[in-house]
Amino acid sequence: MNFIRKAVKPAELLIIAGKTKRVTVKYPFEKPILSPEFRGSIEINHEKCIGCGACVNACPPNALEFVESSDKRTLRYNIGRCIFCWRCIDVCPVNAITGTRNFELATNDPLDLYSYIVHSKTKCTSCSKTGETVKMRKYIMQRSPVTENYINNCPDCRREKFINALSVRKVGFVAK
Amino acid sequence: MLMDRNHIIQEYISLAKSLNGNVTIDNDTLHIIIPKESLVEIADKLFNKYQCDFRTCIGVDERPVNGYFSMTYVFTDNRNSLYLLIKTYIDSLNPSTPSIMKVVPAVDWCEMEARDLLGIEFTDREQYKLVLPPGWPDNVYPLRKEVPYNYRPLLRGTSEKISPSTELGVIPIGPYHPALHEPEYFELYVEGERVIDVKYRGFHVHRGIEKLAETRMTYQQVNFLAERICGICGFEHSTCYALAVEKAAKLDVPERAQYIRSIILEVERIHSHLLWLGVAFHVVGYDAGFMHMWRIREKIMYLAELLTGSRKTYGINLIGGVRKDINEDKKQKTLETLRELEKEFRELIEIAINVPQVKKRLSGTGLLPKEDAVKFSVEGPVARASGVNKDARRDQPYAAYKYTSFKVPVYTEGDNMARALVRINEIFESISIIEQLLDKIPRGPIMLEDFDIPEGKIGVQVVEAPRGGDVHFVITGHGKPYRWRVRAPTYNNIPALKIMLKDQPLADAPLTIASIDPCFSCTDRILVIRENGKREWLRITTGV
Amino acid sequence: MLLVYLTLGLIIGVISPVFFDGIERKLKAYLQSRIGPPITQTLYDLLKLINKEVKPIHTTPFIVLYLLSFISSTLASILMVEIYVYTGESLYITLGLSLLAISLTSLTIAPLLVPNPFSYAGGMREVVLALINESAFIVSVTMYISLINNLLQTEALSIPLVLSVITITITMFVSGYALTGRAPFDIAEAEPELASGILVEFSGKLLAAYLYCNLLKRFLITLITAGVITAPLIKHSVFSLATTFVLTVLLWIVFAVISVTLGRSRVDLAPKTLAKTYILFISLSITGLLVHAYG
Repeated sequence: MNFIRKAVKPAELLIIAGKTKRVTVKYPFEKPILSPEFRGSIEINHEKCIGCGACVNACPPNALEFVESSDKRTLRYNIGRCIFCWRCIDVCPVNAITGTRNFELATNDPLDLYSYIVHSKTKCTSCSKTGETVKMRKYIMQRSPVTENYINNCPDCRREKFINALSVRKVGFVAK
Repeated sequence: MLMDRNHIIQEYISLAKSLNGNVTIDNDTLHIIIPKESLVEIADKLFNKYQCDFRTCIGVDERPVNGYFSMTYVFTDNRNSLYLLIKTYIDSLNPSTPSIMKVVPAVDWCEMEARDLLGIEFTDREQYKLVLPPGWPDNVYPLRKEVPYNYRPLLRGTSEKISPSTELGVIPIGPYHPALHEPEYFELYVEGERVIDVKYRGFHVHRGIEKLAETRMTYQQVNFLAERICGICGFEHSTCYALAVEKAAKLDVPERAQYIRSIILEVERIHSHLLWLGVAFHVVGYDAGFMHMWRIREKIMYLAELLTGSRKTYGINLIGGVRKDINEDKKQKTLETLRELEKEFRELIEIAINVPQVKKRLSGTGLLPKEDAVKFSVEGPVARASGVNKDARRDQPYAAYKYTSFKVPVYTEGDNMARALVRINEIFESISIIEQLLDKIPRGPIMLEDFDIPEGKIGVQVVEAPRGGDVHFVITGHGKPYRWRVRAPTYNNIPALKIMLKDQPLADAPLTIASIDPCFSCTDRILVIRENGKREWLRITTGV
Repeated sequence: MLLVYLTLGLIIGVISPVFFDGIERKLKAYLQSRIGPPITQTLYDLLKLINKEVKPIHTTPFIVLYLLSFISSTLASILMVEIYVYTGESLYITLGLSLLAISLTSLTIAPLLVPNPFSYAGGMREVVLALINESAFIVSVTMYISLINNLLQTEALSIPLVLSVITITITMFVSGYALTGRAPFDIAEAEPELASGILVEFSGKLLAAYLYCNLLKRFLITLITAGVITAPLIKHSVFSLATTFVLTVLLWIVFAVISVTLGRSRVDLAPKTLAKTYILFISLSITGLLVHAYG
């Protein structure tokens, strides 16, 4: 008896199959099951982004990169490289990046994989070198008391100016 | 050989001292620096007398720091939860050191890897090219610090064929083969339908991961890279890396984070074992079992997505903690899913294991005797199916495993059936572990705020992945690891395949290869190579 | 009239295997909890393969010849079986079985002509299986026909004879099932170890032809099994043909369901098990017959 029960055991799969019915869905006509926690592609808010580069530094696969030109700093997001870890969302100081549950990202045109945010850079008033983005400077000024005297300069000029000011105060003239 | 832990530590110290070694103890790790002349002797004593487990060896280019190369051999004393790092310095002008292969056979691959990647020569053994592709320029050793990570020599495609045709039948399996989902190459020599010899060539898919982490990435970014070492058990790698760095930097990670790590690790083990069972059924032609096994696996995939945000490559590990908490709602959902899963799995596996072909083809095939299992230092279910009782979750407790109780299934048959049974039992154990952890999970933060990682510290960690112990070895550097070495379990298991495949029917070869749950891309990590172009052997019309 | 039915039957025989396979795939999908391809999928597959280029090997012409020989003898055999079902004349089934032997031989030889280790290994497995199953099938079908006629003519119910018929029917089903090359006897094209074995060097039209031949083989064997069951019961009518076709479909479905619940056997296991089963059952059947005749 036991022998027979064992022999017909494989047929029990048919019962299981009958019970479960079909579990696959007719994607893309039916939507697949996504959990509420799913991490999909990210969206960057043009208004909020200040171009500070925190996300660029944190991004493990370099999907977020800065493309520099003489007076523009462009934040480029390449979905093709993105691993959807949402580290950028964690580190963004102004919450400009939001996560979506979008995963249908395939495209016929590779250019569709890129999205850009263009920032204009600040110019140093003394040496005309370009520095951080305009929005970034605004953000810093809101956060910390920086004197108008220094904020419009690049770090090099700022240091020089500061040292000069210091030496004027201490010894009365600028050391060469 | 049960002994007091302090007593055994003293014994190791006096052993090292007697061989002119220098010992420092760091928590559970013994750093032993030894002159290279005594290397063979200490390895022999540790491996054969004290029956320590050999895990891997690591070559490091320390020339920018102290002008030497170094080799570090990682042994673990599983009974006393000790790591033993045997380190020897090697002169940088003429880097050469005695090989310990005569006393520890499992060292074969990692020594050859150090030779390929760092140019360290090993005496008293046969040397061959293991990792680098044929045609790689001489005197370019990718892991030396002066070689840039994006160095790409021009390589020509070459034949994969290992040896010229003989009178015997040769059945090539790979580099691309419908039953093996990753590139590697087995040459099976058959007489009729019986395999009489096996040759292996792997390392087609080096991705330069270690070099990449040492050059281009930061500490926190490497977590995500480590997770991508393996598509199935990635979380083990990222946990292992995080734990190794935390150990090196002596960080005190919040308990809740450790619990969450353990829970996700077990979720990953369940899904990996279910996947393996499905693949095994597919390989023996039982496709209905394969489909249904993966159907119930889908529940655990959904659960993983719910807990972490992604079906795979969970991306929640950081040094210092985890990024996603488990709330009461998710906890209930998890328990519910696990209950359903356990019931369905029990029903299904009983049917599947009773299918006559599955039973016949699993039992008695792919035999690996215990002596060979020890000799090759095999890992995970392969070791446990051959009677080697080791499991890092119990032997080197990490994360929150010390708060749980579980059985480690050990079988002595050493065949494919035993390996399947080990995995089946482990699924039930994992379900119980998750339930225990969810029950006990403490409140508190999940991430350590503000910490520093000092330079030049060494951390080594073993994490029991579904396939066996992952070993991560980290030397901390400035803002990124100075050296990061990864050893996936398949790295130790593949050499044992030679024994397992010999004298077996050809039809069971794919099953036996699958039975170690191979993960070839994990095994081959290290190097940037160009696309290899055409492979002549694929056009087999010219035949044997 | 007969001619019309036969032509119709032949046309069904040529076309229906493609759709039967579609039904089998759909059914398998259902049993594996998937949606699965549409019933016409096999047809689409073949049409697509026909439009693909052939990568010729130097033995391609010979393989084509063997496949042509297979197709012609199979169609002839189908015709013979249909005539047998319609008329009930044993001569035709004898012709049909001998044609079956020819067709199976040509199909078994074809992959052996491919100079490739996978194909050769697969082909040799096919030969081993064919040697056992072909003889068992032909023997059991012939025995079944004579035994069932005997049983129908006997007035008093003879238990040894009934047992004899039952055992030989089982042999017929098992050998028929094994000949159709479904799991666990699909070892010749075992995908994991042999990379689809006998199919490995076939491409485009040649692959389409070979796959179609396999379906035709399945159809012929199922048809013979169904035919010898109906023919002695319903003679000389259109219904006998129609019933045979319905029974063919049913048998096909039963075979498909069985194949879902089993795994793939091994070349050293399958022939041994099969040979043991056949010898046991055929000798049991002969014993039954002897007991009936002399007991």
